[in-house]
Amino acid sequence: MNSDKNIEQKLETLADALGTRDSFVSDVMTRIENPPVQPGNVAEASSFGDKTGKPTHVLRRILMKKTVKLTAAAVILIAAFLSLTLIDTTVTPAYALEHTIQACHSVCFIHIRQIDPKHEDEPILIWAEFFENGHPKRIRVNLPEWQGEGDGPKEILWEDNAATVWFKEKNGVTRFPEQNIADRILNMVREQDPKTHIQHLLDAQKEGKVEITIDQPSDKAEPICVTAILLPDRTSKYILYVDQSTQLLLTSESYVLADNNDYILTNTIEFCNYNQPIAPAIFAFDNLPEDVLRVDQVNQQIGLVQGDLTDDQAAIETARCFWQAVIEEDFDKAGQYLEGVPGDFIKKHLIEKMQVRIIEIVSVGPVQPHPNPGTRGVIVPTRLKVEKNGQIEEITFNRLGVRQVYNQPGRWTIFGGL
Amino acid sequence: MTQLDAQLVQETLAGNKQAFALLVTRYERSVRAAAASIVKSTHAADDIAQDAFVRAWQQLPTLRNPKVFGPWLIRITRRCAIDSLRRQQSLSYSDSLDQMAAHERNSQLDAKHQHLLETVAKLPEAERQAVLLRYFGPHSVQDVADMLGRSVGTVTKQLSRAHKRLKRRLQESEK
Repeated sequence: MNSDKNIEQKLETLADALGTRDSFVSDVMTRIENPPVQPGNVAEASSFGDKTGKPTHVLRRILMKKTVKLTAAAVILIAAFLSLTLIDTTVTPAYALEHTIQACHSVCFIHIRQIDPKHEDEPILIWAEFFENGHPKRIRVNLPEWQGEGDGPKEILWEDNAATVWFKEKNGVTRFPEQNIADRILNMVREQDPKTHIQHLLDAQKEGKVEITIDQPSDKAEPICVTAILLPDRTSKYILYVDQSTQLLLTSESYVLADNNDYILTNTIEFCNYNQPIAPAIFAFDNLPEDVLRVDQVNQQIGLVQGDLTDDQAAIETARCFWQAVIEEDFDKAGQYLEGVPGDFIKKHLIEKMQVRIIEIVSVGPVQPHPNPGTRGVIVPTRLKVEKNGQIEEITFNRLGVRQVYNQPGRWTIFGGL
Repeated sequence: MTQLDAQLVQETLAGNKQAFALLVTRYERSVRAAAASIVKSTHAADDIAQDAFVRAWQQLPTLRNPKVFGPWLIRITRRCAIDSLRRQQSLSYSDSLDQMAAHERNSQLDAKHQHLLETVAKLPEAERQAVLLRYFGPHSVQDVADMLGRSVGTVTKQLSRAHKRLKRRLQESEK
């Protein structure tokens, strides 16, 4: 704790040293009110978005979306291509993009590395095995900490229409049924599939939304370099490197145009180990800690059935049923109302860690908005009579979140712990 | 507090520039810290901080959840700072000398503070965001949790981990 205080003091001293500047606010407002006039950005600098009030650039809008974070490079490619108009100045040497599409048809195994220049040492790693018809058979994705939304690094397996996520920092493994999580992973891999990359480029070329130049070195050991610049504003550029002998895509680089007219690298996707069989161990978690919390939402029905209850009533009833099960010491049943967490875990948490025995529900509800609307849940405050250290007292759980079970409308569960 | 941010964002979008000026006041220090942690010069950080606010102003309609204005602004700042670094890399030798001289004249942070800022910059993203919002702006842990869409417990743990990491790295560098 002293260590925390010491660092806190240092940070606070640093904040003081950094200080504020008297004219800072007026300087910013002056720049906003008197934007420098530069070709191409007049409207943008002086007002929000375009004249309709919509964002000035679809690409930027997409970059702002949290959900796109997983697939930034691929989605940028797709969205940007679809949002612009074209002048076709394509040069067509011996190589054509169709060759790569064709070469990809026989790909059964691939390893993909997505590298954000800000986190060069921590790439997103993907391994995928495909059926002969091109559909994914099994996938593994390793997401580093920087990519997460505060829940630490994650490793994800996908197979048989279910995803298993290992939250390494939280020491938990959750297996989800299809849709939502599984579909997101699947889409991520599909969008980073080299076939998809090239196909979008071809489509954009046909629609005249991109200027493509192809540089095919005479030295066959050197890769073919495909440069695609988005039109008409040329704010984004993509460089694809293609192996001359196999015609397979090796690397895809994304760039944005900076204020000084230089293109800055924003993302690199490397496509490695084409058709080199992936060791089965990659598609399994064989190094899980012994004490990892395992939650299986595939092989058990979780949550409360809503029936005729309103959403608020269902949320309150879920919380009430959970606490009632705890009072009856039916911890397995309680676990079903808590995202499918094993009963032993709840027992351990309440009895061994918190050292309380729940005796009676004093009140449940009313429902309150959840502080994080992104969870799509509500808070159900609960007041309980408990026995703690031989004393009877009342305690309140003020952050008990309840929401509909993912992809199971009509079922409700507690989430986010107690 | 995040409600206040959301309200100021809405008012800005409705055309009230004074509301945006209040957001600038509220986040000036966090944004300058985020910039200074990357570019090492408070002079350059000041320019970048201005760029970041101007860019935030331009892109405000794309902000889907006004409550997360703080972390969104910090991300914009980092991007501006990285862009600035990349631009500096392409400066000519004489330009670089001028920049260095300007740095010497304007840098107000002593070596210890600068080192601490650089160490903050190397924290994992989640921890860095929490530290920048918590210690360089008028934000409680609850505010930071709301802004980042995390629980208070998670933010508290992230701050505690950040403290330990900072302490360890500062000690390592002293050896």
